[in-house]
Amino acid sequence: MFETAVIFSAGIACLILLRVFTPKTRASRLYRHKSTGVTIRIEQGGKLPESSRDFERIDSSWVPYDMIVNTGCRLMVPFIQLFALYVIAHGHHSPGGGFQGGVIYGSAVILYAISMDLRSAVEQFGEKMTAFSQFIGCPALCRHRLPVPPAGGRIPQLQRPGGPFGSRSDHGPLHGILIVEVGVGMAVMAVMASLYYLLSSAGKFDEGL
Amino acid sequence: MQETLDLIIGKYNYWIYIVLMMIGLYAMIVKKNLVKKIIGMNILQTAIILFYVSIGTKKGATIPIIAHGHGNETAHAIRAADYINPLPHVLMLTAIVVAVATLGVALALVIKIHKQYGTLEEDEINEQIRDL
Repeated sequence: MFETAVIFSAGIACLILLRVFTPKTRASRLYRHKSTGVTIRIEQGGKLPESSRDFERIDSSWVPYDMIVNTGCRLMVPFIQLFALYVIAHGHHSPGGGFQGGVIYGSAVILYAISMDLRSAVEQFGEKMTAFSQFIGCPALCRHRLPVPPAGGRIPQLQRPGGPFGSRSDHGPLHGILIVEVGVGMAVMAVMASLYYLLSSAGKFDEGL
Repeated sequence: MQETLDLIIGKYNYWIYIVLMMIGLYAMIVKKNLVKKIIGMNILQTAIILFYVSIGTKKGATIPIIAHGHGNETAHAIRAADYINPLPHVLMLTAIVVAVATLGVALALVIKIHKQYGTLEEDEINEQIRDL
């Protein structure tokens, strides 16, 4: 379970190494008129159609609009997310678990970022959200272990704690482990997404692959 | 001759492990490009995963999962010889996580180095450091 700590520190290390905060003014930007497909370049100092419905911003390494890729990925992403939740929810009594499910969920986010562009992925699942999920998810293991008293010389193990809120039913331990798995899944998913954001845009969160 | 051939064919997964590990070590030591060094590190890690998983196998055994065995159904005895050893698998799960973490941090460092020196070739970076 301490693999969560490993991947959490990797995510933090990448954030510290790469994140740069650049001012919003850039040399030039490319915009596409949605209905006609005409691409315009706006030089530095020009008026940016930032909130216009007719124009959308595209990356400076120009990627042509591809309806098949966009539609296919938009259809696939929800099912990948559903499968990830299935893997997380079945991790405590069959193959799967928080780490694997989190990686699948993170791959759904990365697929969305590749098929659309980095900015629309960051709009959906932003930088603050990734940091929040990491910080919520990583200590899930510790928070779960805290209420187990080390009484009677028994080592508090993951398999043998009481259920949540002190319940002692047969399925209590399973629910306890499920909480840990969900926390691990959140942390791993957030680290996967933020690693992709940071590495693809070299820490700028502006223009990616 | 026949015995040697049997040794090679009978334990081919260990031979693949040795070859993969040597390829990874070669790439890490000899290659000048930093990304190629990272690829070599990944090949080395994969070889070690293959080695550990090979240790855990038994003939005629299946994966160590008792289907839906979380209630009282597990009260009966199970034969350990029917299941492969799960301990190397668990260790390699952690190794996979460490591989992902090291890959991410290594790529971040490579991006920083490329920003600083404008190249990823080790000798050119060394030359620039020497000139400073």
